[in-house]
Amino acid sequence: MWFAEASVSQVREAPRIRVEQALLALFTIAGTVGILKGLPPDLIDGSEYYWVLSYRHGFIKRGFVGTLVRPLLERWSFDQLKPLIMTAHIAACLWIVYACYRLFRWALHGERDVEARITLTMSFLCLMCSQLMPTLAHDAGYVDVYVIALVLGAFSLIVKERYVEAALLTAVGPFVHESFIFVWAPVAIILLWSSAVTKAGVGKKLLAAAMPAVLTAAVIVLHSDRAVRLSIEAAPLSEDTKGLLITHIFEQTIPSAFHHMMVYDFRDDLGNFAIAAAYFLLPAAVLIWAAAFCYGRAWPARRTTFLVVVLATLSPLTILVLAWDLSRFLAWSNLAAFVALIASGSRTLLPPTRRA
Amino acid sequence: MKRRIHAVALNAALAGVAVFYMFSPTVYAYFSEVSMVYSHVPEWFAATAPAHLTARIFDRYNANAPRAVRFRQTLSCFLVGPARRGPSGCTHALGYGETVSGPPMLKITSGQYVARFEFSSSASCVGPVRVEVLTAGRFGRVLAGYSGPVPPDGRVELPFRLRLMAAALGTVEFRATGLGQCAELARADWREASDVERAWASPVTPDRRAPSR
Repeated sequence: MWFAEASVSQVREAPRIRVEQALLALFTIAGTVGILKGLPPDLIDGSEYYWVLSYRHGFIKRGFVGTLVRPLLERWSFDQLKPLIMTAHIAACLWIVYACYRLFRWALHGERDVEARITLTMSFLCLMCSQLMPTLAHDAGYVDVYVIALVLGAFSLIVKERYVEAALLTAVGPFVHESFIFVWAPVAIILLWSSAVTKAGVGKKLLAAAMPAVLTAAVIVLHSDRAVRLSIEAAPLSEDTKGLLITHIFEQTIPSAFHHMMVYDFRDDLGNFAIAAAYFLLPAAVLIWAAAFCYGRAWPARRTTFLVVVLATLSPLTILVLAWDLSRFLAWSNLAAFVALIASGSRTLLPPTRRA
Repeated sequence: MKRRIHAVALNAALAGVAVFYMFSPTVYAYFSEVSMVYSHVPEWFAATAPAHLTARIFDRYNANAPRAVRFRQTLSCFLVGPARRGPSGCTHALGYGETVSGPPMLKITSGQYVARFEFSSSASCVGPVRVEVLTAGRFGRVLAGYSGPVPPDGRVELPFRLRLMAAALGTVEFRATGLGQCAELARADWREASDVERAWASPVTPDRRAPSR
């Protein structure tokens, strides 16, 4: 009898699941439109240094990508390399769309409630239409797409309980850019909360959560000013760019960046910040609502988990006390809301309560 | 039933937000300045309600942009082109067909303005000129223009109206071209139109497409 019921249920479920999966696949087009909307004709000004500074003269922060492409730069000029960088950028954008699709598909598989499945499908559309993909595509030449690709790769391993592999993958991030720690923050917050709630696999979860923080600290400590100056001097960049790189990026310290942001940006343009934040964070707010709707009933310590989800969503914005690329960082919160949505429905990270 | 109503409301919100952001432009914002682009999507995206709403939301964003203030104070110093520059770097001797234009990536809020080009009135260098104000970029248009002799006081004033979408999607550019043997552009700037100038401004005139350079 049970088998008979199960088979009838499967017959009913199968087409519905196929429809939702077909819709998910269709909604990746929205992500592609987003990429097209933002993609510039050429690399963004100021992005060249990621590709031409390397560890040749010693260890420097943000030198990893340049070290990888250095063999190519010995053969070709930077201008000849530009089409390759642009192609890699587009490929990374498309991979991010695909990774988000895979994670939503994974979430759909674990969900039997029809309303929740529809909501998850629509949440994917919302994420793909948000400013996340246009903003990422716009920054051609910056390494944000690779940072986010790494975060999504590691997060995919986390939801499959492969914490050690995830930790190893995140180890690359801080070498690409120290901002990795801010994009990883939502996953780390969820992992910490999961450790507190489940008391299972605590060591592995903490390892995955803390690895980027430890390595970011190491990158900052080990960074050599002398090496960066030599590297900048040797780089095929204009003298103006070299000067700006030293004064605006590599001579900046955490206290000086913080002081600049507080004195100039937040004090003078608080109104603008409020406008931009309201505009960019709307999809994140709706995704949090979706998380609460789909999984809220099953969350352990419901109110606290909701606060954790909100905190995880807003956590990448802490970078704004140090850096002024406002929309670039606000868009990360949409990604963070998506991570929080998927993670909060994971039965291994936040096991459902018995009542649910 | 209650959950179903909740689901309908939530999915309507998700769909609404998705449609809005799908058609809105890529918004690239710093704390003091914002720009918007539609790079490789059809132009009709810019005619949709989300595009207009986004432009309206961010319309006053650039009101106190430090770059615009700097450009306004010394606009002629930021004009570039093949014309010979004076010792200060801010005057331009325009020979026949020589053009200077700029500044780079100027974003200002929508509204009515008056651009002013001042030419030196030395008798040896007073050829006719063409001056224009235009928006650059994919949706670029000529906003105002004048071709002819330099007036006796050396000053050409061009009232122009920067519409909401033009301000959102374009960057404002000033351009001067020599049409005679010689004309020396000494100064340029722009200011908001006074109430009288607004009242006298001609009603809506169709913008022309900016000629490609």
